[in-house]
Amino acid sequence: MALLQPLYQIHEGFVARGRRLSSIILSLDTLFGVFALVGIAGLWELLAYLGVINGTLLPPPSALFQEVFFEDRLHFFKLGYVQSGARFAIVNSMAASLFRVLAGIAVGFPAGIAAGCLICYYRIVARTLYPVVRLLAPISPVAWLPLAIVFFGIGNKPAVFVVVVGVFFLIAVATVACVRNVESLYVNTARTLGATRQQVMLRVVLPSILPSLFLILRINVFAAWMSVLTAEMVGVTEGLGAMVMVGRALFNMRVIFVAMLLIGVTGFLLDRILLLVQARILWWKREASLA
Amino acid sequence: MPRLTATTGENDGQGHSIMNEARHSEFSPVVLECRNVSKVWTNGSAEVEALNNVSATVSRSQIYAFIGPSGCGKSTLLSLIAGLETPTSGEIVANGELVNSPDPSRCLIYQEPSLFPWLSVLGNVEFPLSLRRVSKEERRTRALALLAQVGLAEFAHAFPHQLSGGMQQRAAVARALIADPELLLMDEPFGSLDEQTRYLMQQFLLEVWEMSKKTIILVTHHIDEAIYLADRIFVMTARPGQLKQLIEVDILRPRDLLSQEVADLRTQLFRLLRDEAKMPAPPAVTRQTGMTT
Repeated sequence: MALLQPLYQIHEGFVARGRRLSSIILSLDTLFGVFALVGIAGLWELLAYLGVINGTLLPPPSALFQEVFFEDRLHFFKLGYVQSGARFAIVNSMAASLFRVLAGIAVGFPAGIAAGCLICYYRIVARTLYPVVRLLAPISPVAWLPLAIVFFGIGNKPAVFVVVVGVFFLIAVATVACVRNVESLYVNTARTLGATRQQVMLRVVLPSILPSLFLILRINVFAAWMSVLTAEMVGVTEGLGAMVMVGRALFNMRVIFVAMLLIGVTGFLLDRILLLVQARILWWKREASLA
Repeated sequence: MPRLTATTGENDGQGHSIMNEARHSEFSPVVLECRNVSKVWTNGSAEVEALNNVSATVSRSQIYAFIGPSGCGKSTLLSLIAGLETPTSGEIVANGELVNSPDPSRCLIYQEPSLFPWLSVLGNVEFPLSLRRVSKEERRTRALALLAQVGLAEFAHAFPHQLSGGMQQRAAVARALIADPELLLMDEPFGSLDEQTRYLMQQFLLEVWEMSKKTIILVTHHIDEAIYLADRIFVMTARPGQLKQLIEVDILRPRDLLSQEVADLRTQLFRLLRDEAKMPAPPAVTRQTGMTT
């Protein structure tokens, strides 16, 4: 009988985990957020209707929604054509930008961890690679852009490259800091259980620093998001960054505003995607870092 | 009355007086020997002497308790025995070999729950075997059998944070036992548990000991815990830690903590520890670097 109660608690724990995943997406907080947004949009619309604000410089939401369906001027610049060849400029722009930042993270995050671990594992790497990393890390990802365009030409590659560079240096430096800070309790326990240095690194240090690294990635993901947009404004013909530039070229505030709104929405989606990935790969981590 | 073989009182500074008697104990060969072990922690130019000339002999299949005021170097001694640190002077010999690195034959269990949070209970218990490339089936069979023995069979697939503190420590003991160590080193293993759980865990540890006949070295500051569990109790002085007295506990198990003989022993231990507590803690020994020992 005594065993039954803890078992029940465990079951509760699993249920709570499932509930948490869904509550991230649809909670009361989200609902309030939606209401607040609708409220602000309504106020904006009202002020524009009353003529308090200039509808040309600050187009009201209703005009923006019309713009979404008035795609011809975007197609003139072939926005979104590269992705699907179809006439979904806005969806394609979002998809293109999101793909670039996710691809950059998918390459940069593991590479940064690997570099950080090698720096901590081999003294020779620490003495050779680490100073280079420390020197290059402060260079803004966007500053790599001209170089990337010369190397890779116009297209997806320079935009992805910029994200890779940003995430790589961030995570490499963070990994070194995390490894040096790792819980000695776990390391010593593994050592007395017979783990070799390599086993300690791969099977104890790595899993124990992963939650912090993922948190650092999530905090900094908007920096990566911004660097993609900058890359698109300069060297790519599609994506949300390019859409902003098209709006500027046309002196069309509506396109600019639509693009900006989409940048915000997509950035928000990006954070949610990472949150879901985090809940999946860091299953042992509780609330504290999930919230 | 218990036969309390309280041997040679104060450490004579040479450090071997106490142990010569234990060395010729009735049965059980020696599994571990500390010879004049000292440890000085260096922190910048300041040096703190944690252990001073400690010599002790440990025989197979016995339970030893080190008891002493906090900061007396008990935990330092355990990490030296585990091979996580090296002594500043003196040597530790386990099974005829000099200890200079950790070895799965000497497993250390900490006070804090040390299960890896990213592995299930089963994964944790399998961990030492997976380091040695034992086949997956064998790993699983042995881990499940051991989990059943420590009463955690139902929790094999739970994660550590879903277990209570006592269950986590039982799983940690199972994880240590699966590697079949010669010596089980325990650093205040039940220190963070409540009184009832602590009592259950002490009984659990005795069961484990009956079953496995491992040699157990336990560090504690809990007098009753030492009396309840240990065959021999080493009383240590305040820092720098020296061995003050070795007390043999010849009370039949299971020991009744309310009996007169336990009460007498408790009084004796309390007096010994109180004397240490009365002494003003010696200030950290500060010397110039390089003038150790």
